[in-house]
Amino acid sequence: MSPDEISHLLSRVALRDQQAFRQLYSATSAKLFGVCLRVLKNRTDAEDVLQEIYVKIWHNAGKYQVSGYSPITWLVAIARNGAIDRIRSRKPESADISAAEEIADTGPTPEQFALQGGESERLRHCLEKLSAGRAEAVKAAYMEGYSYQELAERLGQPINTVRTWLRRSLISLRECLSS
Amino acid sequence: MTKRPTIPPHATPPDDDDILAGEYALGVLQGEAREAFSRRLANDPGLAENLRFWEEHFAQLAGEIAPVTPPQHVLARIEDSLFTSRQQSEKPSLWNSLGFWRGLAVASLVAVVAIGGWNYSLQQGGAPGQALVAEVAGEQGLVKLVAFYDEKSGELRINRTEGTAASGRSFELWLIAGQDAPISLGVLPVETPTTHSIPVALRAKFPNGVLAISDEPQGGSPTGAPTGAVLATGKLTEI
Repeated sequence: MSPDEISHLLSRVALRDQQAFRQLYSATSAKLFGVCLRVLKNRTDAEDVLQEIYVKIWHNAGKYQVSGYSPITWLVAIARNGAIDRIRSRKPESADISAAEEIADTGPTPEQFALQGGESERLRHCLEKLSAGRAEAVKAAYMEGYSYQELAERLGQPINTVRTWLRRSLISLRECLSS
Repeated sequence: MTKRPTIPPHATPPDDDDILAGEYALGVLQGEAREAFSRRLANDPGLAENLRFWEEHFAQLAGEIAPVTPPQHVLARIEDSLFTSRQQSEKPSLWNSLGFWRGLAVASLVAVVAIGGWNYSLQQGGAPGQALVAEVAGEQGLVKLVAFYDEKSGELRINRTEGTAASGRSFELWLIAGQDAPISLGVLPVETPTTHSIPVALRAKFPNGVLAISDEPQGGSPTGAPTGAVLATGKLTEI
């Protein structure tokens, strides 16, 4: 489903169209569930958060139009924020690290949207200009939802050091992405 | 400097808020730092724009995450919580008082529901139609509910007074009419009370019918017929 079609469904959901809501769910839920699982690494939590996400989408679809976000970014941002809020509120040991790997689908189905386009190339290009370790830290933070604390533990560095160089990475990325 | 069509560039070097927005978008902020940023967002369009810049770019990384089809019961739970409980919460009444229903003796059930039925019909702005009531209960007391069916509107109101399904299991409600196989009326939502619109084709089966609750895998029977123990039954009686 194209971004324009998702955008159209979101406007219908904003008008309380339950059929459009179901179509939006069938087109986007596998992607958002994948995002939740990647961060939460626990199937039950991911199901709970997915439910919260779609309840939020139903109530906030009207805000999408004025947000200026592209529809996919808007949905992914809601999903990641929901998953990260959940993971920050729980104890770290409840994660099952292997869960996300075991249950990933073999590939996207036709109705699941793909993320692609010029901005993707641009981000990749700008990440490549960072040193390999720093680019990996940025990607891991985004994909796995690591906090500064977790990044510091994984990298075996003090939290302030990690924060300093992640912020430097963001400054470099910002300049590269804006140029 | 080249203008990007979708993401406006910053002519000035990134400031603290810009980097803070990047940290928030990545998700590395914790505790008070994350909450403080969320609070500021609502009233600071500049900060929201900084965040949008990062979200639009980082969302491309999500393209590398494999989609995973969620189990079917998740959509059912979402729709139940959005579309079923919303309807009932807009009509607060006697039906919402759990203590009231728990304390009710069976003998007085018919009279009370008759009054509730009158009120309910008047709230809908029409003359009262015929109504049916059932107390659905079992010997073990694992689940118990009171159901009220308004023949005029075709709405079934359910007030569960006892019992919740075990973890990973669901309670499913069935209608049994005469010698027919049980017809599923759906999984009982966690919330109570709830109102359900009965499909027109099923409405004639309600008089003299029996309601039953079975214990099923989460999301309901996979076969369309009851697969688990029948925990409670109750006959629909005219009032």
